[in-house]
Amino acid sequence: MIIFTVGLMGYFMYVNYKLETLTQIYKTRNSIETIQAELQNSQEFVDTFIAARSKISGYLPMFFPVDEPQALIDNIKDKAAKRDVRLADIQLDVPKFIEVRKSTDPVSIVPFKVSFYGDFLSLGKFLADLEGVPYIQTISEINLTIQDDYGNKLLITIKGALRFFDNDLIDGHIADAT
Amino acid sequence: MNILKKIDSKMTQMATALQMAKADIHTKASGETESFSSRKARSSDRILVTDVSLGVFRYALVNRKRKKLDLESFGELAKEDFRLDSAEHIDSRFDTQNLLSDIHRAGLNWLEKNCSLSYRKILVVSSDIDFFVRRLELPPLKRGELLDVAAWEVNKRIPISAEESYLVVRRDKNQSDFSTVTVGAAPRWQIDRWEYLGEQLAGIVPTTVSLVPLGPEAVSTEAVYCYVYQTNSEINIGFYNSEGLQYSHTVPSISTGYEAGMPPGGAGSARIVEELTNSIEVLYNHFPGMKVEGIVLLIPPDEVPGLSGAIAEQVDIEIISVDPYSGMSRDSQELWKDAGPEYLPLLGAVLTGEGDFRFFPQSIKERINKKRINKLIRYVLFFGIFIEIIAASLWINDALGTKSELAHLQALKERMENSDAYTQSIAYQSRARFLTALGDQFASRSNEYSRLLRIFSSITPNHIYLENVSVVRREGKLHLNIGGYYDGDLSRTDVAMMDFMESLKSRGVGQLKLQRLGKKLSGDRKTESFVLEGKW
Repeated sequence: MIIFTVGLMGYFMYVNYKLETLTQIYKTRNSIETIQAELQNSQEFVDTFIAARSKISGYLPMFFPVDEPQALIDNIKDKAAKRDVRLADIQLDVPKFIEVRKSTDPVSIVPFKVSFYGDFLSLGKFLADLEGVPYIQTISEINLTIQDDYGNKLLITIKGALRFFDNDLIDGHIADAT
Repeated sequence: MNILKKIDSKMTQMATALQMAKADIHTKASGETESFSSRKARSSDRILVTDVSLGVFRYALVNRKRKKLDLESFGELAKEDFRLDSAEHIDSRFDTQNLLSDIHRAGLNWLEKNCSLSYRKILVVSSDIDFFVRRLELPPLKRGELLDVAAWEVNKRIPISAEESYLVVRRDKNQSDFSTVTVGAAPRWQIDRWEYLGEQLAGIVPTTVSLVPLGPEAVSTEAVYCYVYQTNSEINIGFYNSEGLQYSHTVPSISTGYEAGMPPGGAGSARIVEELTNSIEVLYNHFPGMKVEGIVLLIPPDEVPGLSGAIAEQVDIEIISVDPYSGMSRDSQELWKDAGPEYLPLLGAVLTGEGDFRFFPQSIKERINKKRINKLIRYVLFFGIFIEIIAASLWINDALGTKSELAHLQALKERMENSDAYTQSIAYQSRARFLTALGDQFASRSNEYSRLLRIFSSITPNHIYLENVSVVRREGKLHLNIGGYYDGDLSRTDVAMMDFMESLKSRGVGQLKLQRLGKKLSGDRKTESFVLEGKW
């Protein structure tokens, strides 16, 4: 009985060990197959990289680095002027802005609040313009009111987040990430 | 008185036998004086066969080698070797029932002191057993029932009580509707007297059974085989059917005739033929229905030349010449022949198997069975350990193999991960993923707010004026809060508001909630403020 018990315990220990090892073998084999697949697809990754890079390059003129917020504001003003809309006020989230300036992330998101005045149709077109530019990451709120102070014009206040982008930081960022 | 006469008779026979040379002991390669005690003999294969049939202690040391029987030593013990030299001693020491076994015991003691024979088992051949064999046809029975039924059946057919006998049941033939069994019976007391031999006892074989293995097997009670063999002093003629010895005839032999080299068909063979024909006649007269199927000559041809031819001239019965020594090595054959036909019962007894009519005292059988079980348990334990060792080594081997395979795969994986090709591939993969995701973000556009403003401009009815519009994104939906007022025809107030709300609904604005804040009437005109909430 003792021999049988010892044998049985030994067998279960063996089975347990065997299962653990087989599981590890299974996982390792899967990893190797993944590596092999990735190696086979390496050219595809290069092609994808080139295509994505090209796509990003197309957006570069529409972006401003975080070190140059004034250029972005000027760009917004220019767009407003084209739609006969006047800038009343613009505010950035200063603490967030200071924080992202220290970051090496190529993309920086900074909350903003901006107000313009003009007639309803001009403001609508201007708003559509802003929605189409890539440096506006998101618009979370608009508020449209009639303001006597601005010659009975409409005042639109827009809240959202600006996206700054520095193309030079991309390579470093990817290297850090990998 | 009869018993005393029997003792006297036996002791007389023994004394006659003991007139032979003192401790007439022979060893293999007769003439050599090799000492068994000096030989590193393995006792495990040796059987000491003993026969005290005629009051003479006769023994043969047989060794089984590769299914062959080797006779290594044989001999007879003289009277003085038993220290039975006084009648008083005999009377005081041996009782009537244990006479043979006591002679046997004394013989063994002598052998132990003087020959140092090495053996594992002792097989006893004894003529002093009232042995009966009966062949029965029984209905198919289970093993447990067979002995009881056979005992009940055989009890009616033998002159001794089956309850006071040892029975050996041999199943000969199994058919669907009946089985044929042969039952051998011997009185218990005649078997139990050998109890002192203990577990060394290999069985007690009645002399009448011991010759059977040397000849053909009788298969019925009617078919009888006649066994003929002779010793230095007598001619033995026995008739055996399937139930064993039925009738025997023993007469003094004319040893001087054939030992002097009589010509073929001479006086030696003539005497044997004469006794044989007489015996057959007696058998046919006293046992009607029996027929002699064959004459088994246990006499080597060179001992009585022309015997077969002489018998064939007198009787029309098949002559079966058997060389009882055929299963032995050449040396052993010579030694057996030297020993003489007196040793044939010993040889035949060795050839009987455990399934044949070997008897054991009950206590010995139980001890042997117990020992066998213990031995079996030891074997099982040993086998278990052996299997576990084998299994463990296989497991370890397998486990090491698995571990080795894992190590090999891990090393391969590491090499692949550290290769330049893979590193570059991963780098491109990461860049591609990052830039693709970034490009998708850049391309992502939403014009919900400007669309809403366009909707308001297109659907706001006349006489409804919007003063403020607030749109906030919460939980994936745009929450609208529209403040304004209605200014127009009193009767058209509700209709205008309903039109406005329906238009909003049709553009996907849901959960509309209208709150009227106050109204001012001026003739048929009405001015009413409202707040309208909804989700888009």
